[in-house]
Amino acid sequence: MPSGLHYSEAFIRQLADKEIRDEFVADQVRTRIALMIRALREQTDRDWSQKELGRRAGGKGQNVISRLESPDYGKESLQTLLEIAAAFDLPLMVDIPEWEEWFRRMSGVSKAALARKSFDIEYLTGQAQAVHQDIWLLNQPTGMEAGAEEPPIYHRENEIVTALAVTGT
Amino acid sequence: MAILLWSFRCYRSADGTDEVKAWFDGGSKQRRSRFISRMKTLAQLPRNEWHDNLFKTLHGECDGLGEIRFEADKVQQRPLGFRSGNAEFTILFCAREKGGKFVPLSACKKAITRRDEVLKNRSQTNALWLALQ
Repeated sequence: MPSGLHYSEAFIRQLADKEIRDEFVADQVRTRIALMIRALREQTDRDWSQKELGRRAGGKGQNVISRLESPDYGKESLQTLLEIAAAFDLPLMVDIPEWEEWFRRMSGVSKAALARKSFDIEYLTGQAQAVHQDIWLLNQPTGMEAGAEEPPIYHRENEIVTALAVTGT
Repeated sequence: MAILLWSFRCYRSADGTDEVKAWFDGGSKQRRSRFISRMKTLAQLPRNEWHDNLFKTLHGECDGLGEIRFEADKVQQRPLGFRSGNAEFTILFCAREKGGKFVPLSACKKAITRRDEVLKNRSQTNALWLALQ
């Protein structure tokens, strides 16, 4: 298999039949959701019980969370998934990608692969500043040799947008 | 690309039949696709992440065996096997579960007999024929 490719020819051939393919996708999605909820709940910096996650997700019972963590369940609503994601302070993404993208995104279901940072304003604004500085540096033909000043560092999200507009990127 | 941490083997009877493949080939498309999916998932997970919803270690008369757990065709499917190496699992017998009991009732007994055969003679197994990535 070429490096970076997330599937082999033999694997794809197993999915040649449409019914097999549809069932495979459904099972992989159900399994990933179940494993993801459990991995996020048990992530070291959370270490929540099912009861605790239920409480944070709008007062759901422990039995509801237990069902959501079963790969055989798969009947959760979009609203439930939004509430679970919100309990972790994470966004939810639902997409219908092309196959290559799907295989890439579905790759990796271990706890390590499913670890996610909750919303952290310091971290995210820091990332935005780093991107802004990278863009600014890329736009300098000779960098600091041209006598350019350091790019301004902004701390509020609306000002980052303004700064990007000012640098013409 | 996810690294496959596990390899799987399947019991082969004296006449050369891969019993797991025969079970697979004789099943519905739903059972086949879900089996591929679960094997792919298990292959990517370290052993301590083979949670009860995916895999259960058995005790009592089934001691030494484990069951791969999934539902297909509204039936609880239970391929039974054992850890045959550091990162290797051998599937011995594909049972079902109904009302807390295996179908057939002799599933564990058969699986243990097969395990003993495999432990004496590893050539009574085939590598899992499925491509998992």
